[in-house]
Amino acid sequence: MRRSSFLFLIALIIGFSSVHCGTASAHPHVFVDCRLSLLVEGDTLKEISMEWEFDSIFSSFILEDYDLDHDGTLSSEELKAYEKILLEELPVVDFFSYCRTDGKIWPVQKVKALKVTYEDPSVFMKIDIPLGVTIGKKETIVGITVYDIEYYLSFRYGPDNEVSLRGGENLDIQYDIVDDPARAYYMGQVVPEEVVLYLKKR
Amino acid sequence: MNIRKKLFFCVLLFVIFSLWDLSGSHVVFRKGVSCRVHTAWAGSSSLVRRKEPAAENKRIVAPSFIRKGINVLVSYQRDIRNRMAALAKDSVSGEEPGALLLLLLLSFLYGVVHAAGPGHGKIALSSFVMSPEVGLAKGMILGVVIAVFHGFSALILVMLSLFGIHKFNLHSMNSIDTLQSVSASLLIILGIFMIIRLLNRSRAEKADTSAAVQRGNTSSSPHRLFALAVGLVPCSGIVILVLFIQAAGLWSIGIPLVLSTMAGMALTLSATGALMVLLKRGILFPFLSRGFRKLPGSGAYAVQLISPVLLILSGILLV
Repeated sequence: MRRSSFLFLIALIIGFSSVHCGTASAHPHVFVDCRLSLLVEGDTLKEISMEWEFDSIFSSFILEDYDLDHDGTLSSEELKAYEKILLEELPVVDFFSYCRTDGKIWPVQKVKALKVTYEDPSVFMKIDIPLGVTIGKKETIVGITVYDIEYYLSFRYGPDNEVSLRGGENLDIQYDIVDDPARAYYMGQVVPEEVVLYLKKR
Repeated sequence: MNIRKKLFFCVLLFVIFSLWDLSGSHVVFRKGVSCRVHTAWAGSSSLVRRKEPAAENKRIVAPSFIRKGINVLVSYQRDIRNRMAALAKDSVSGEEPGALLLLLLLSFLYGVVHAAGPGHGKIALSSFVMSPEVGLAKGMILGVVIAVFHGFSALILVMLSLFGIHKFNLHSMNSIDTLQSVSASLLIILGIFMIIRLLNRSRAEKADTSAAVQRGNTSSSPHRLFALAVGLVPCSGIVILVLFIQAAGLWSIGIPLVLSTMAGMALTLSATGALMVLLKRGILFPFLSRGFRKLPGSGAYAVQLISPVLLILSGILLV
């Protein structure tokens, strides 16, 4: 190959590569099972607690990084170190979570608490999202969606006990898990799920 | 259809239906791994689930079968990974006989399922095998070669990290995207090169000089360059597997695990190559040959243009 042709080829590779938008590479890398728990006090949906269970392989990576004494588990200090990292990193991506109240969708930027636990073989993370939605006689709808638009993480609700309740004896609460195609991502191939809560006074 | 093709179709259908059927039994993989209520939720009561009709959607999304297919594949990967992590401990401790064998089988399945998901050069491979020069055997071999390059590329990337040359962990997975861009650029260039070669051959045939035709026909085949361009992108599945082997200290069974996963990927990619060749021969070319019948001479070149044009488009999509 002539030198000029070779240089032209290199220039083409650099040129094309610089127009990078990273669409169809092999994803996802981390799998998360989500469970929700609603905290109701009186007539108010006070907060939604969301628990993430990381897949066993990703959990083993966390263990490798944070198990500094190499005892095969995570002590409270080691868990706190990971919590600190998560509290720094997750607000940047809105905890990958979006709530819907009064018909408006808003990203979760603040949480009341973040706690990490380890139960061999999985790492669990729990966040408490403050809501403060007052429930009346008319049905109130609250939605929560969790997804990573880059599809680095794959979230799903369940596979069991996906939604549970603390309090709310005088309320009628039901839920459904629905596809939300309006927020499809990854070239329209992945549709996130939304947990929709239907709440009203008995 | 001859006996070889029939046999191939049977094997292909068997693989597809086996995978499809497994989708209903994924609970088996999950048993004892993630089916448990975490203690943090003690004191909570479960809620009644109600079914509402689906909301109207105005956004363009992929067809339902693609979305469902991706969901099934992702669900499989999740379950297989969890099961592999559990089995890895048993196979190293030697407490459970047969755990290693099951682990190897699962890693093979992981390779099959992981390569069937998004990425892994299936679009590029499908585009390339549209060339009339690529037959069934070549399509399948190309799939295997891509899987091998793809796997070893990942292995080299993580090994560089182990030897301290380049720090790599799961958080730096995005660096793969850089290689993805280079790979996509190479595909575009390859497509352009194939078009130029086709034009040269066309000119040579018009000039009717046997030497020129000979030169056009014997120009170097781009198959190897194509496989290299696609396989250049490290496989994220292998990267994760090797990182897991490192994290869990499973070096004694690491190489068989990686090779088993690569074999699974090779099966999926070669099946993709073969399927696309069969589609090309059975549907696309007969359809096009009817369409181009009125264009004698140029029809053959139009058919030959499909592969490089698709290759350029797939490169643009992936850049």
